[in-house]
Amino acid sequence: MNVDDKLYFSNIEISTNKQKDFWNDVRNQSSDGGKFYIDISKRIVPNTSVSRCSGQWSTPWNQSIIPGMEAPEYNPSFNKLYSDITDARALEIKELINQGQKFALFYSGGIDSTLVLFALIKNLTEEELKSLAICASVDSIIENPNTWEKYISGKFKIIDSKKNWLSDVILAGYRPITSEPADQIMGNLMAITMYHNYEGLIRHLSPSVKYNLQKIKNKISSEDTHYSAYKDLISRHLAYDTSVEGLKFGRILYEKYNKCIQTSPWPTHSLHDFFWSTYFNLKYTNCVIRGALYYNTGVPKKECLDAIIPWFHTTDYQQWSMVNNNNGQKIRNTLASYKYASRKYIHDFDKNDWFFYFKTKLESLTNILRYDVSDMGTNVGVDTNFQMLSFEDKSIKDYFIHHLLNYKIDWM
Amino acid sequence: MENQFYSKYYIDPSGSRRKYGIYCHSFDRWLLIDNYDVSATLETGQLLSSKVANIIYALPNNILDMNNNNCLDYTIFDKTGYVRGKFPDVIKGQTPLVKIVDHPAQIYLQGVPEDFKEADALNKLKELKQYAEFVHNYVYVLKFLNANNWDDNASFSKTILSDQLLEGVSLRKDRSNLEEGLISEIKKILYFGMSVEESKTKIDNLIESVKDQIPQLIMYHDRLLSEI
Repeated sequence: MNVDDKLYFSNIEISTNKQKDFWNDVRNQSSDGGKFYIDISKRIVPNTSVSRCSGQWSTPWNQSIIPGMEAPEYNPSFNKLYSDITDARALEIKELINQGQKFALFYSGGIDSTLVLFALIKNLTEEELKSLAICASVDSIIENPNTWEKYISGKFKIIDSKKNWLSDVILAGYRPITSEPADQIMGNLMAITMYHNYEGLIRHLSPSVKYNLQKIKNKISSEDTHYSAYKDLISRHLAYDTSVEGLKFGRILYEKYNKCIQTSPWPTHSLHDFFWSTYFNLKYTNCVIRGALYYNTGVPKKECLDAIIPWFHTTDYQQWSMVNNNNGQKIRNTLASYKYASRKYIHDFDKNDWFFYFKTKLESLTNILRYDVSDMGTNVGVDTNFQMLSFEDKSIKDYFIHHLLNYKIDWM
Repeated sequence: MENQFYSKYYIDPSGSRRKYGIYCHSFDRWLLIDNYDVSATLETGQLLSSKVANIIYALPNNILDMNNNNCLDYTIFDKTGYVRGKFPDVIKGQTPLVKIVDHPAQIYLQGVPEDFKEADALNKLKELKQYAEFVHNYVYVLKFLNANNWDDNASFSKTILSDQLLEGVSLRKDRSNLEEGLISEIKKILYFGMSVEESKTKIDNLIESVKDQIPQLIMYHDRLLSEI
């Protein structure tokens, strides 16, 4: 690999001992900027950030946007309803079924995949639904037992997600439907965990800062309260630990996000916008392609990527996401209303008040995707031919060392 | 018998007997406070997990003025340390674990949760509280019913003995024709139930259907229900 080569995707993850050894070794040979870039993975796991618009997010190496991942143009007059976009997406699947294709919905029991399930049940005929299988685990049932009992059990072919790789499903003749990238459309888990521990985070701040943050606690999705008013809180939340270095890291990462937001084409006002905007831009690609890259053992990566239908990866959902901030569609005040538009669609279909009011967003990828950490352990990205890059290849290690040695913190 | 590890789940740092609470991330408040039994509270949390993700906390005894009547107004102050692996509890796991709150200052009065101030949402929250109390009460009934169900030779033996050892012998939970026995069937109703009224009706119908098969068990069930 040459130092001028471009990447489609980079992945810094420090979960296994092998990964720790590799990245610690590279970190020791990196500039301060390079060290910072590796440290992002201590807080944003994994660090796969890449900008897909004009928003500035420098990466240590040359990285280009995977075709199809570019953010659509911001259109302030976009006015399609979330429910109509969702129904239209289901009708696309209907058409493909009528062309003879079969699908497997990766169902975790969470809000996103329940929305997809209900959209398909609502818009497809009984006959058409015979071409849909459900790939799930017992964790999916436990996450949402009433939906399983009423709408899935005995009605669909079940594929055990704990025993089958995503690629096994493709090899069995199905096109996987995933609920990606739902959190990028609505916000993200970093936001949710911060709102939930608001008091616990601000208790460490100075009395005057704390006083001001307490006054705006219920303004997380309010257009008249700019996210910069929460700067100290966000920085604290982004810190990888409470050491001096960890807290400093949080402040630098805030500024890096801030620069990206300031140069992005869509408006970003509130605290929730801050998290939505960064993840809608920077984590979007990761969520769309991770299934094909990491949960796939038997299908060429590009072929796998083309076979998967990431439900929310459409121009309409993205356009909707850009113009529906701070109006109660993504969140109202707390995590109880996170993904409000999806909750509403689900509730209109099944009238389950418990789910509407009390379902929380969970990290449930492991409910539905079989993975093996040891297989994922050495991957650090893909090149522009969708070839996986392993850090066990010396030229790839040299590539990362070269770029991380030269990377500078240039956004402050 | 004093053992520091497990006494911490029963005795708080001041030496008083602990209370137990069911905390729900969704509305960031306490749903239920129990004065007696951590395992009963855990089972209630598990049965409620079909409706709301929750966590069981062993609480210090002197938790200011919080009790089962007003706990929907109280929250946890700092959730920093409450995690499952690398994820905060709030985003990981539908079913409850048991954790500990040692300091009374961790619990404080916060009032009605922000997203539940409108009438419909607040009523649903009150309905959840009502359902939680109904389930918790029933959990105690079923615990003591099970503890005195001398016809159950299945529960214990299935836990202890391998399938190989049990091959060729028949097992039963009670003398009814219910495959999983009365107690399991009631738990399923509580888990899948959509309201107190619906669950009560289903349990009444279930009991009616087996009352001639297990009259003594039903009699004891009724007695426990009236006493607990």
